[in-house]
Amino acid sequence: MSDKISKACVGALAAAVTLSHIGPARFVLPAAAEDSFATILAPADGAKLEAKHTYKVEYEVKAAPKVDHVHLFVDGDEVGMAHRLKGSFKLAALKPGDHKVCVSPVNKNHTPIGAQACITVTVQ
Amino acid sequence: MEAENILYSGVQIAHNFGAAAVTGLPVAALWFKPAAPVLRKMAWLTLLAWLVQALSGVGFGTVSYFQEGELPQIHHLALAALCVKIACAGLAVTLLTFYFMRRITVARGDAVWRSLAVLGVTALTCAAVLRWFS
Repeated sequence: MSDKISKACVGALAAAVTLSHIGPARFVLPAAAEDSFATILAPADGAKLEAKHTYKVEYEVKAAPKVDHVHLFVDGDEVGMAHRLKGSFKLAALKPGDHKVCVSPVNKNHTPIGAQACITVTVQ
Repeated sequence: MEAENILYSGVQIAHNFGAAAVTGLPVAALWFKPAAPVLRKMAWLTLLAWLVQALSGVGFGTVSYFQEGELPQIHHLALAALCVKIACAGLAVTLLTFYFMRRITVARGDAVWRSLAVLGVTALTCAAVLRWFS
C-alpha cells in the first residue's frame, strides 16, 4: 500500500515538474505580445519629480475581454493593483535617480495581457 | 478567448472541489468520528484532494504560460500566501503518507485529522489572500 502511495506522490510531482518545464508557449496568440491595452496619462515620460513628494500615476486601460485589472510596478517591483479601467495609483516617495514605472493589464489569473505601458521618471 | 476561459474554468473547478475536500473531510472525520475503515477511505480521499489541489495549482500557471506566454505576476503577500499553500500541501501529503504506512498509532489518529483540518483551513485562507493581493 505504501508503495502505491509513494508511486502516486512521485508521479504527481513528476507531472507537476514536467508541466512547469514544458517549452515556450506554442498556443500564444501572435497578437497578444504586441498589443498594449494600457496608457500612462501622468506623469509624462521623462518627467522630473521631487524627492520626498508623493505623486499619482494616472492610467487608462482599454476595455477588452481579457483585461480584468491592472498591476503597477516601480523598478520591476509590484507596488499596487486596481480593478478600474481608468484611475490612479499613489506613488510613494522615491529615492533620487531614474525609476521605471509600469502599468500592466492582467487577466483574472494575474497574468499580463499584451505589453505593459512604461515611463521613466527622474527623481531629484 | 473561449478556449482560455474553458481551461481556466476547468482548473478552477478542480481546485475548488479540492479545497472543499481538504477542509471538509478532516472536519467531518473529527465531527462524526466514523469507524476505522471509513476513516481510511476518507484519508485516501483527502490525499487525492491534496494532489488535485497541487496539480490544479500548477494548472493555473500552465494555462497562463501556454495561453499568454507568461506566468501570473505574484508578489509580496500573495507570494507568501502561495508558499504557505504549497507548504500545507507538502505537509498534508507527508502526514497522510505516514498515516498509510501505519507509522501513526490509532491513538494519535485524532491529532492527524486535527492537523489536516488546520492545514486545510490555512490553505483555504491563503487562497483568498493569493486571489486578492496579487
